[in-house]
Amino acid sequence: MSKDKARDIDCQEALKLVAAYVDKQAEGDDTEALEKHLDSCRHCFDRVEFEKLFKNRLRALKVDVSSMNLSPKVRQILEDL
Amino acid sequence: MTSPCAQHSPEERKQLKEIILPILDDLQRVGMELCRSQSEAEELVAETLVRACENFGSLRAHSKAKQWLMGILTNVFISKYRTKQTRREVVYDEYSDEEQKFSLFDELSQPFFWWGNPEREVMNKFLDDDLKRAMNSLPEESRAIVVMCDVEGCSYEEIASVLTIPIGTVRSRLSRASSELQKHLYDHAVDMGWVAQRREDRERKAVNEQG
Repeated sequence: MSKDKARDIDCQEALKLVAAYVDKQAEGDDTEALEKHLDSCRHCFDRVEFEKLFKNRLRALKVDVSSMNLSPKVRQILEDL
Repeated sequence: MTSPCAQHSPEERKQLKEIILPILDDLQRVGMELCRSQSEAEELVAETLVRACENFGSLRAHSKAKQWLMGILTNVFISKYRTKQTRREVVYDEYSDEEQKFSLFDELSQPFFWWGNPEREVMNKFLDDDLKRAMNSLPEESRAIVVMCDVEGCSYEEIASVLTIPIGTVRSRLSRASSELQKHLYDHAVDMGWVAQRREDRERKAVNEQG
C-alpha cells in the first residue's frame, strides 16, 4: 500500500506504533500509517529517530564468540556424546 | 558423576551432537549477552546441554532444534539466576497502556529547541559498558527479552516460540523491559551530571518560580 492511501493517525496513535515499527514488526498498514504521520510531525519523527539510535546501540552489544574457547565442562559433555 | 548422555543409545547421542554443534556458538553468544560474566555464561551453557541431553525426548522435530535449545537456555537463565530481589517479578502478563512507562525521549527531548537533540546527545554519551551494566541490572525475564529482541534481533514470533508465550505477551514484556532499561540509563545520566534533574522537578521548579 502506498503512504498516500494509508489511514491518518494522530500522535497518540503514532506513539503506540513506534515500538513495533522500530523493531520492524509492525502489522497490517501500521508502517505506512506511521510513516505518513512522520512526514509531517517533527516530534514523532524525532522520537522514532531516537528509538532507532537506542536500538542500534543495543544491537552493538552483540558478542563475538569466535575466539572464545569451550569451557572444560562443555567439552566434557560433548566428548561424552 | 554419571554423564547426562548415559541414558541414550549411541544413535541418539550422535543425533544430539549433530543438533548441538551447529548451535553451540549461538548458545555461547546469547549466554554471554544474558549473563554478567563469562564464568556465569559457561555454567549456563553447560547446564543447557545437560538439560538438553536429559530432555532429548521432548524435541519433536530436529528442524526446531535451535528454538528448542534457545528455549532451554533462556528458561535455565530465568529460573536459575533469578535473585531474591527479583523473585517478586513473577507475573508480567498484563501491562496496561495507561501505566506510566518511562521514556528517555519524553524525559530529555526539548520540542521547542530547533538547534539540537538533547536526547540524542545523551544517548551518544553512554558507553557500551553503561548499556551492558543497565541491562545487567534488569530482572532476568526483562533481560532475556531485551537480549532476544534488541541484541539478537529476533522477531516477535521467534521470541514467542522460544519462550512459549503469546506474541501479545512478548510485546507487553518488551515494553516493560524497555521502560526499566531506559530508567536505569536515565539514573546513570543524572549521576554523571549529563541531566540536571527529572523533568517533573524542573517543571515544578519553573512553576514555583513564576508563582
